[in-house]
Amino acid sequence: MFEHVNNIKNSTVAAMAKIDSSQFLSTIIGQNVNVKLHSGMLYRGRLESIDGFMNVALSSAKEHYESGDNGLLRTYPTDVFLRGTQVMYISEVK
Amino acid sequence: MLFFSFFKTLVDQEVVVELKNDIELKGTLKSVDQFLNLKLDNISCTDQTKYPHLGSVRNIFIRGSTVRYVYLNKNMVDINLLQDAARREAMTEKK
Amino acid sequence: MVNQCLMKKSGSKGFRITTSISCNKSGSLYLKMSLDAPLDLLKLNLDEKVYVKLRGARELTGTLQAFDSHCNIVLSDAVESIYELVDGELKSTEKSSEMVFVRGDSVTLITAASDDE
Repeated sequence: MFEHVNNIKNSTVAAMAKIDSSQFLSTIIGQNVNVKLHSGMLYRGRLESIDGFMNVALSSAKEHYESGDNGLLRTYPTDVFLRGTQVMYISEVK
Repeated sequence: MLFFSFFKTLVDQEVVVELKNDIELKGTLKSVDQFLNLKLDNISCTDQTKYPHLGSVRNIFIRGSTVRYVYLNKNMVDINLLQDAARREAMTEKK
Repeated sequence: MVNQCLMKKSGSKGFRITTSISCNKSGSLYLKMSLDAPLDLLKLNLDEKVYVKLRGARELTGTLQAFDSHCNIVLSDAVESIYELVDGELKSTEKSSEMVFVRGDSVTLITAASDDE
């Protein structure tokens, strides 16, 4: 099981060298990510799915303002849909 | 196209439109297009504070993109029909 | 230690479902199904109570009656909360409506409503 974890980690890193953005988005499915919106809200959770409009579905999402250090505003027990046009960036949580 | 069709079923009904600049207008929905631009007739105000400078306006064309909400009455909408249409729309957009 | 998983796609009627086997900190395995497109989440929430976050410190809860790919939505029995700062104090105003169409460009977040809302 944990060999697999390492394999996935390594292949992610290897792929990072020369990938386009859509490939990046598919490599981070299932990972923990930060999604920042234009409003300044930051959502941290597991990336369940993403589409070409940057619409995002997160599970076990936590809501912060601007940064994860800024205190938890809310946790969402069910999956959360974030609208693509409102997304500023998506980053993988290492 | 779902909401274009939906609004077409509401033509000649009285609706309240809230715009993104907080203006609120009550009127009879006269027409709608694919951008969800709306034409309202017989405008009246719902709330004097949310209705500036429009006292003498009788009918109005609203650019769809400026709309925040459209308030409706329950009896204007066939809920089962609408939900089914939404499911069908979700299916067709996938292909 | 990380929460990680093996992904496997399986076809089914209408939905494309991704099954993942995850391993949690204590080493136990669990199975999770998720949908392939974010908008499928809205489809699952049709006729359910949803919580919608909008631009301009507004929130809505109501029963989801319709949506499209722009996130235009129709909610029934909706309650809107508007949050404002008045003299440095947070003030919230509530407004109910039996049926409301919300234009998609105001929407930022949609999720199932939890019981306390």
